[in-house]
Amino acid sequence: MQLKCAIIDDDSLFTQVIEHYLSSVDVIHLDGIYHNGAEALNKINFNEIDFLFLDMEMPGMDGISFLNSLAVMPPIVIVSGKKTYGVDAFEYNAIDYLHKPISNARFLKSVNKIRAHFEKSKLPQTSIQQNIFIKHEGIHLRLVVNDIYIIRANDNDVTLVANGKSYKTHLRLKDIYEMLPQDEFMQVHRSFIVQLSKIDKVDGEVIEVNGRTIPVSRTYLSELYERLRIK
Amino acid sequence: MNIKELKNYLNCDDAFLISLMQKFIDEVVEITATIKTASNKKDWQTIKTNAHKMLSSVRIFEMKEIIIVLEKLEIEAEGKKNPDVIKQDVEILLDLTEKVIRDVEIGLEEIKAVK
Repeated sequence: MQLKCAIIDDDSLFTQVIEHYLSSVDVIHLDGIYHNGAEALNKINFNEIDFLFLDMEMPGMDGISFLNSLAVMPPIVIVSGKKTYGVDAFEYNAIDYLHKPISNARFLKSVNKIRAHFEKSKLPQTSIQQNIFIKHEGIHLRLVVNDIYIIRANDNDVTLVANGKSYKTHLRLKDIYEMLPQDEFMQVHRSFIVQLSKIDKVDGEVIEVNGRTIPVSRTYLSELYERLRIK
Repeated sequence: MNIKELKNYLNCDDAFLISLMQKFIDEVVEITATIKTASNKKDWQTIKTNAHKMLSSVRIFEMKEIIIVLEKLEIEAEGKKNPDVIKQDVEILLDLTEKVIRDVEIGLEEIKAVK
């Protein structure tokens, strides 16, 4: 996942610090820095950014006026030198509220909140919008991606387990993997791909998905632990 | 100013801290000059805006004495009720700023000496 953000803040020392913090965060790309609400309104292409770091107190157009002028509100992280904006953060459904000055440790906590926010907001879209077609017993069958737990490679075909049923298809494991959202599925073994959010248990080199035990190859083990955020 | 603590707080190297401290000095000089001019013109809004801006910067360096003056100045300038108090606070701010800049310059020398 790669998220694009913009900073709207007149405090150049603060923006320098945030720019420095973001330089070590792979998941967030800084698209631009704007010094007040009016400048941001004129220059930001809201279709190209995922969220904003927004200061509440700026000369000209402040944070609240900026938010009130938007037809569609993007996700925001509210930033302020005053502690009094906590209620506004709640009211505007902010992902997080950062009180200046902000240490690197506090900022990284915010990054986790941001990531969790976008991962969470992605889940319903997956279940509603994403489908794949596989050829099963001579007919093309639509499967909802979110329903697929396990994909297993057999000698001559591949089995997909979705909603408690098994579907055999002659596609290769590699081909099916390419059809699936890579941030939600992972190959954990030469013969297995699983949906990460369906993993119930992890026990060393074995995982449990929907009651089925799946082996994890050593090659994929550290990546799996990292993606599941297991320390 | 504790350089080691500041580096931990910001999780940064010497080069970044030096650039931040230099920027801080430039900014503080500019802001206090603006506040001084605004005080002479009784332009309370400019004083309020700039006191707020400077607060943000000095908080990074945990300069408690100047933070208290700036917070008071921001509130006084917003209230616009006591021009004499505001002018007095601006004078205190200008004196403290000189001290703050000296502290940061000493910090800069300290980092460069270690390098």
